[in-house]
Amino acid sequence: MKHKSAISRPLTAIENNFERAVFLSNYHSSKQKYRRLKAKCLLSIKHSLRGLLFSWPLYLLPLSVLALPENFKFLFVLFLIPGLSVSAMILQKGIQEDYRHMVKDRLLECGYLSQILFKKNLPDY
Amino acid sequence: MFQPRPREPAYALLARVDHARKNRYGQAIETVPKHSPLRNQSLNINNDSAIGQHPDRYKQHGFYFTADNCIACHACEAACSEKNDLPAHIAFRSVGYIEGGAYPAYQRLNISMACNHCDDPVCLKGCPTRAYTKFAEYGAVLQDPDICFGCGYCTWVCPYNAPQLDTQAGHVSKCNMCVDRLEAGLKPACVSACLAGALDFGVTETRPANRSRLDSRIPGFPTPDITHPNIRFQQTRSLPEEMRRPDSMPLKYMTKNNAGASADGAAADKRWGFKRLSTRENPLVVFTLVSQLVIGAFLILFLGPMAGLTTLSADNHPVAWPLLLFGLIGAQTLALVLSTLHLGRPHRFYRAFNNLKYSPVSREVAGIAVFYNFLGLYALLGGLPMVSALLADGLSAGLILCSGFGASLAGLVALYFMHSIYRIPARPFWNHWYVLAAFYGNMLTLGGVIIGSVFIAAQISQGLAWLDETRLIAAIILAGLCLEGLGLWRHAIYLQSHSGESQASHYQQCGPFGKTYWLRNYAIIGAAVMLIIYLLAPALSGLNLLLWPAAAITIIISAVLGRALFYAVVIPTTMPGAFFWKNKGFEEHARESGLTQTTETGILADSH
Repeated sequence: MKHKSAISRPLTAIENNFERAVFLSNYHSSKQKYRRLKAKCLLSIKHSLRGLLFSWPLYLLPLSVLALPENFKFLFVLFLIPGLSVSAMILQKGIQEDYRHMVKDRLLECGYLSQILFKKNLPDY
Repeated sequence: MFQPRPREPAYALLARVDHARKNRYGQAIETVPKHSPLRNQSLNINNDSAIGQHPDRYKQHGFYFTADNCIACHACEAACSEKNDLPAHIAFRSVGYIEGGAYPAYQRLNISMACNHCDDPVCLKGCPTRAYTKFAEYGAVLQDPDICFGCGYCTWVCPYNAPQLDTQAGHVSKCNMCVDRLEAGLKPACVSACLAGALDFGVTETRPANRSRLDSRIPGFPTPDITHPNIRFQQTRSLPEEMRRPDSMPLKYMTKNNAGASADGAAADKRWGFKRLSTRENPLVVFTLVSQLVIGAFLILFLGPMAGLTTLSADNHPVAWPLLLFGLIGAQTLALVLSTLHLGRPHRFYRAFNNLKYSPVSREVAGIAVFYNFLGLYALLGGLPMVSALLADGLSAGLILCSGFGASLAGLVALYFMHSIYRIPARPFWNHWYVLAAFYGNMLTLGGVIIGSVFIAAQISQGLAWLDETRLIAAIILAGLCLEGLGLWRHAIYLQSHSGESQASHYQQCGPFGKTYWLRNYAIIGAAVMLIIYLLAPALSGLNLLLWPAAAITIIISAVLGRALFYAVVIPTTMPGAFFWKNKGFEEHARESGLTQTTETGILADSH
């Protein structure tokens, strides 16, 4: 049996003009905006934690200055800056894609956070 | 459900025929038993929950190709591209050909090929993200581009070049057997569009109309032993004994009894080929070499003091030791970042762990991840005394030891899985134990070079003796060189004694890349000689001071050249292309001449 999804089908899947108008008025409500903001925060936390889980040794590099003399510190900043920028880029892409796929142009109902977190019962539109 | 046109012609409809119980590979043609719960499920195509009612829905289907009839009109390609809305640079089905004889007895054999929905789909096993599924319905092997993260490993393992890596979209896609048409009782679009009656489709091992043969081999088609493909051929016209490919692959086919392929050309001039050494796999050159370097360096750093190399301890070198340790983390991070950015969708990197049961890519990534984490833990506790001071003495020492041994073991296992990625029957040049010898050999040589160089510099800066201390490291490097050299020697013998793509790859590395190949070989021999002198002449410390950097540079050059050759020289067992279409030589020309700016050319500027 298919469970009811807390994430609606996207605006692009609606062909009826009247239905689109109802969707849009609901979509621009403050409640939906607040839910989208919460979803964005959740996605950011989820992707950041996952990134950290896989790449935490990278963040040891700045800590290594504690074990090294002063004149070697620049080396690790050199390592860290490209590492952090690439991490941020990958993170941003992941958040953007999930946001586009699960949040943008959709109405969010109760239970949407757990659906976004565990990607359970996502609508295939 | 797919909507058939009002009056579909009879040739477009799936026929109902009797069939054997098992196919020629011993596999049951009925994909699931009568009362299996896998039956009567919707394929959910475009969110449609309807279930197709064709009586042969749970039987393995396949293509039939009559080469005698194919006129290379490319109607099948066009129908497929239209049906699947494909961009110009992607083709799920393509027509290539081989040619032979001389005017006026010139002959050409056309081959139209898509996915063969194999009984043993290597793409499915190789995919680290589990984007592939073999369905009970029609035995179709389907791939989900949304799950795929664009590593392209399936394009390496498939002998038929069926999965297509779209570097623009960042994912792979492939022939879906037109299952939506099958559900409506229609044959795939390519089959329905065939003008000459060359393509047909149905339950495998049955005999469609106007066909007398069901061969599993045809000149130009890779051996069916690798994946048990569901395609049957008919080719009755006599052909010249030797047929050549019109594309740039140096291969020719012996048509007598389908005797297979051999290298087309052998005595070519040796060239450097530097331009062609740079491939799309450059990030993998860096990733594999740096990972091997880091694992080797860590093994020597951690196990060295236990083996008597007390100079390598943190107590003796309070600056060099942490510098090296954190430098290794930085280098491994760089390698991981490069390999991640090499993916079509780098932000989906975590899907690499999805297929640990079958995919060597998943296992390699898991091995490297475990090594990286143990290395991080070892550096956190061993390299930062203020952190370990927070723990009880015994606990801290125990954790440092455990993480050190954990990293050592995980590193060795990760390199084994890294090698198994390349043991691919569809790429015979790689499918040899020399890959393992080269990877472990480079681990010893590159790791030893880094550790030795840092500690020689550290010892000299402190005015301490360094010659005797580095002898064991030099011996380790020499052992690595011998291991790599032995592998290369046996591999060259193997390539010479085999035919087909492995022989053609050897021809490539001895001809178009000949000078580079021999430079790499002489570099290995030269470095080994330098290290032997280094080991045997301890008194000449001035000479040794020159020998070490000379050997180190030679080893690094040989490793980089060797790995670049490894990716550039390999020739897959893929289907032949044409003068333009699916021709590597033409693709290179298009990229150089700017033809790629015209999208209709169907070739993208090489970006991944």
